[in-house]
Amino acid sequence: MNEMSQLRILSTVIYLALIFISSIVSVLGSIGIISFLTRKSIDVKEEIVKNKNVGIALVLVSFIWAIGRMCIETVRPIMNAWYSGYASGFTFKTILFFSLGFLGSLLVALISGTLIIFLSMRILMVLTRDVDEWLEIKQGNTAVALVISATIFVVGMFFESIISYIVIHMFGF
Amino acid sequence: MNAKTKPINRTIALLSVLVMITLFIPLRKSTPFYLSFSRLDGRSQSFAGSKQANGKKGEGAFPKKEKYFQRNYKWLGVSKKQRETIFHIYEKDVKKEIKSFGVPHGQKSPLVIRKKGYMQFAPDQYMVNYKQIFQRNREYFPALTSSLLLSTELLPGGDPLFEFLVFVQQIPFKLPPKFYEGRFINSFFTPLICLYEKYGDCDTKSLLLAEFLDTSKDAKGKVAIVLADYFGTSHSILAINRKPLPGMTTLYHPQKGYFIPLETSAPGWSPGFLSKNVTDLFQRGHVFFIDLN
Repeated sequence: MNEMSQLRILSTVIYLALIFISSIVSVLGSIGIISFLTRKSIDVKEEIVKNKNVGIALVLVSFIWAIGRMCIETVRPIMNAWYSGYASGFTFKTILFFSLGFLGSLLVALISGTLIIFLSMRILMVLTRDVDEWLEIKQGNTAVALVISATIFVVGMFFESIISYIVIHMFGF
Repeated sequence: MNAKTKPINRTIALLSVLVMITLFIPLRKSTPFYLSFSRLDGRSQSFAGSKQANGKKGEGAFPKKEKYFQRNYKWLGVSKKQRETIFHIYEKDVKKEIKSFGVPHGQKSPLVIRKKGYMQFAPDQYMVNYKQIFQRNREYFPALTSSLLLSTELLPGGDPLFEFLVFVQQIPFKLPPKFYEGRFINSFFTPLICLYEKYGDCDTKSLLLAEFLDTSKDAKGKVAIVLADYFGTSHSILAINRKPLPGMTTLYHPQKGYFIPLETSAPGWSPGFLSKNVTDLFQRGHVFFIDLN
C-alpha cells in the first residue's frame, strides 16, 4: 500500500472515530447530566417521545451543543499530535501515550461541558431563587427552557476557546 | 452453543490482530511522504553562496581566500533526535544582501524605495516586496538547503517538508530591529540575514522556509506568503499548494486551489495546523496572498 494513501486512510479513520465518539459522548453525557441534575425525576426519553415536551428537548439540545463544542475543540490538537507522531515513527510507548491523550482529551471535554452546564444553571438559580426551573420545564414551560438554553449557549461560547489550550498543555499535544 | 462460537471468536481475534499488524508495521518504515522521518545521527556542513552554487560542494570545497561566517544550529528533528547543522555563509553575500534590502536614512524617493525591496500599495505606503527578496535569495540557498537536508538524513526521495518546518520553528522568535546597519528594514530580515543572525519573526521565518522548500529537489508544490491583519494584530504564515489530509486547516484560493498553512513562529505545529487565535485572525482579518514561485 502506498505510504501516502495509508496515512490518508488511517487519518480518516481516526478523524471519523473522533467525531463519532464526540457525538456519543455529547448525547449520552447530556442525558446523564439531566438525570443527575433532576435526581432522576425526569426521564428524557419519555418526556420527549411520549409527552412531546419541547422544553426538555430545548435544554437537551443546548447540553449536547455545549459538550459537543468542547469535544470538537479537542479534535484539532489530537490530529496535530497524530501527524507529528506519524512523522516521527510510532513506537508502543508513543501509541500508548497518544491513545491515553485521545481518551483524556475527550474526558476533559466532557468534564468542561458539564462544568459549563453547572455554572449556567447556578447563575440562573441565583438570579431566580423562587423558581424551580426543572419543575417548570417538566410542566411544559417552554419559556424557562429557552432562557436556560440561551444561558448555556452563551457560557459555552465563552469557554470553548480555552479547551484546546487545556488539552495542549495537559497532554503535550 | 459455546463449542460453536469459540472457534469463530478465535478467527475474529486472529483476523483483528492481522489487520492491526498490516496497518501499524509499515508506520515504522521510513517514508517518502512529506511527513517523513529520518534515521541516522549526524552533522552536516556546506558553503552557501554563488561559488557553492557553481558546483563546489561539501567539506572539500573550502575556498581558502574567501571569508565566511559559520553558523551552528542545534535542533531537535522530527524524530526527536538531536541534530546539528553548520551553515557557512560568505561575508560578501551577507554584505551584498544587507546592501540590497533596506532604505538608507532620509531616503524618500519611491524609485529607490522600490529598488531596495519594498513595493508600493498606496500613495506613500509601502510593504516588503517578499517576491523580489525570495527570488534574489534563491542564489544563496541551494547549498544551504543541501546542508540542512544532509543533517536531516532523509532517505533519497523523502519529502523534507516536515523536517524543514521543524528546523525553522526552532529558530528563536524575535522581532528584528526597525533599522539594521543604518538601513530601515521595517523589522524584517531577508532569509540569508535570518540565518546569519539566528533569529527572526513570523514573515522572516516563513520566507526562510520558502527558500529551503523551493531550492530542495524533493519538496514539491507552489508556496505563498499569507499575511493577515485584524485591527492592528497581524501575522504571517507560509502556505504550500498540497492536498490536505483529514483534520487539517486549509486556505482556499479561487484560482490556485487549496493550500496547507505552515506555522513557522512556534514549535509543535504540524503542516496544516494553526493555533485557534491565528485561525480566527485569518478568518476575520484582511488577508493578503502573495505568490512566491
